[in-house]
Amino acid sequence: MPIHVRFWGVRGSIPTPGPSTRRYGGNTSCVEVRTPEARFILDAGSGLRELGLRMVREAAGEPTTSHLLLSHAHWDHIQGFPFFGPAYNPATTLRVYGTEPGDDRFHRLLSGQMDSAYFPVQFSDLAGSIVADHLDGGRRQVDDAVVSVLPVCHPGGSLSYRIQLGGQSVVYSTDNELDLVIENPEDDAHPSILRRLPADLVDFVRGADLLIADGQYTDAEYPKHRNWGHSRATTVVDLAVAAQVRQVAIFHHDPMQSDAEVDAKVDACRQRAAALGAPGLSIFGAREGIELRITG
Amino acid sequence: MSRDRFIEEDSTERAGVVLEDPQPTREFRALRPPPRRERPNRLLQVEGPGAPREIPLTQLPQRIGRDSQAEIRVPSAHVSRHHLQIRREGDDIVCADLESRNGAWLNNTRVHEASLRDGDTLQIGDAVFIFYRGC
Repeated sequence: MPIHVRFWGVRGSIPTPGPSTRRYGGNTSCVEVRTPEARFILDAGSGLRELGLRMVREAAGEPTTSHLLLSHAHWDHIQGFPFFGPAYNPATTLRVYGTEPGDDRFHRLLSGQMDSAYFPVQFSDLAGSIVADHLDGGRRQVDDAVVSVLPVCHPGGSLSYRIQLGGQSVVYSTDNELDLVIENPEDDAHPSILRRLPADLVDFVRGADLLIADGQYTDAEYPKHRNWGHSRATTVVDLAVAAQVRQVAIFHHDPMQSDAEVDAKVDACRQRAAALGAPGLSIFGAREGIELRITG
Repeated sequence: MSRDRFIEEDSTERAGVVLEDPQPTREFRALRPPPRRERPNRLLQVEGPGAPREIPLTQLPQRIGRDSQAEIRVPSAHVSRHHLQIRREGDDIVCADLESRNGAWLNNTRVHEASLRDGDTLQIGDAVFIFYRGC
């Protein structure tokens, strides 16, 4: 049975509508992953609004349950939640996951951003059931899928998720500054030497059919943004090659990048894959409105 | 924003502002630009059986396939009988793979479904199309 992955928001930091971002889109992080039994929502950036509109249309008033997995609570990953139409519907159940029992931080933060100082509707007024849940310390069966979580490198922390359905898997790893954890920085100037990344991260990603990863910066942009919590797109290629991933979506595009600049960033990734001896690795720039079908 | 308005609001309602086209006064009528020639959304087939040809997407949905019932017929063994659907969703033109054998490739990435953008390249089997947004 397939996994369906749809991109609703692929931009980092702040929504960037406009003619220069029309093709890839300007909404902030939101990815929908559907298995035959479950719907996962990965981050609640501004793209969540459009997803919500579709869910309302499709549900036609029938009860729905979805699972919200947040990487972290920086604004561009939660700002879509107050505009999520299904949350206002009593037939909706949305489970918001922490990592372990008692970890309801994301549920509290979603509630907090709907304080009356920020927004006219209060969290307590939502008609849907917005329920705190958890991943049993890092790995849990949710309907027909197994969800795993791994903390990654970002100011204040961020979580990456792996969703496994039988032999098929999707990894979502945004807001993760891979370049700060490279173990052989002395080799960085050599285009054909793999940037070695921590074994736990490589193992987490290993064999994924699709890796959706933070590749916010070009090589030229990165030095000015070191320690900001985001990766060079080309370093994502090294992670994918080390972990023998099938396909990579470069994600969390910088708000300053035009469509043409994202194209160039993705081209640089393909060149790096070829230099690393992996010319067959499928790499694309994540783009709003695209849906993939993962069949393993 | 009023809280009562919030839930019902959708993009079509927000976009539903109708601007009247005022009749020009006599003195400015001569300066009015000629009416713009509108072009529909369209596919330009640049490779594969049937190319080159331009296919206006005025009547949607349409199916691309090798079957004689397909609205956009591509007689190729690499193309499934009903390979791809092109449909309208709001302002978007969307392509959706109809469980084809060889898949649909948008700008060299295999997709199950996608909102098309101006200049996108769409490949099914040995047929290659470029999507042009109407104006």
